[in-house]
Amino acid sequence: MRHEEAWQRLPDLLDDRDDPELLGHLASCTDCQRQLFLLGRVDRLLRDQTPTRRRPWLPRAVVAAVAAAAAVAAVLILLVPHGPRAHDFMLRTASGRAVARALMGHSDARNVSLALVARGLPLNRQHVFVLWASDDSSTMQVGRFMVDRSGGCRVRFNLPATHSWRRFWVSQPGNAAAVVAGT
Amino acid sequence: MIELAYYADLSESAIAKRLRVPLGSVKSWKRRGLNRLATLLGEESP
Repeated sequence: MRHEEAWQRLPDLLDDRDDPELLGHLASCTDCQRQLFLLGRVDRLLRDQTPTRRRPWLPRAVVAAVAAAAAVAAVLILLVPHGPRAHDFMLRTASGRAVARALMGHSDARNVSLALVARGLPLNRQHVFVLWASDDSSTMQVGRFMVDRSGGCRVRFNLPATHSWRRFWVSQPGNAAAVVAGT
Repeated sequence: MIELAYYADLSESAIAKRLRVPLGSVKSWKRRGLNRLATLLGEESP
């Protein structure tokens, strides 16, 4: 794959359009690695800004009503005993340190979305990791992702909705057995 | 394109439908926009 083509297609990796050719180029191109890192920051900045941008469109009365409802909901959540949510998974290192959180949500009829927010993953040389998922009968490689210098990132993946994904873990690239963190 | 994808939280196919353009064009524009923003961010913080 030519560098120019790979460069143009780098944003696809933010949406987990896993492309072996593209990843192959990425592994050997520091310019593309830096661009992917910057793309991750852009993606995070855009997502972080979304709620504040939307607020001006809402009338104040609606905002106040929503805020009041949210406060009531928060109180109820705190007061009503409940177990861990089925769609919210914490990934921990072998020492028990929480380093990532995986949130599953609806994507479309055939897929579920998985938002992975990592903080403080132990860095490797390439700053690249692989996310895996499994249910009772099968395992799949969800995709690769790149972290920043603090071992943090925010990425989204799509998984087939035909499985009930219950377990997630992160491994080093090229060595599925080298598990860095898991649920 | 970026505004529709992030602030309106529309999928690429929904954007294509709304703008009545091919899905490939939406993908291409989104890639170009994100790459441009990333390059600008890189220039600001080398």
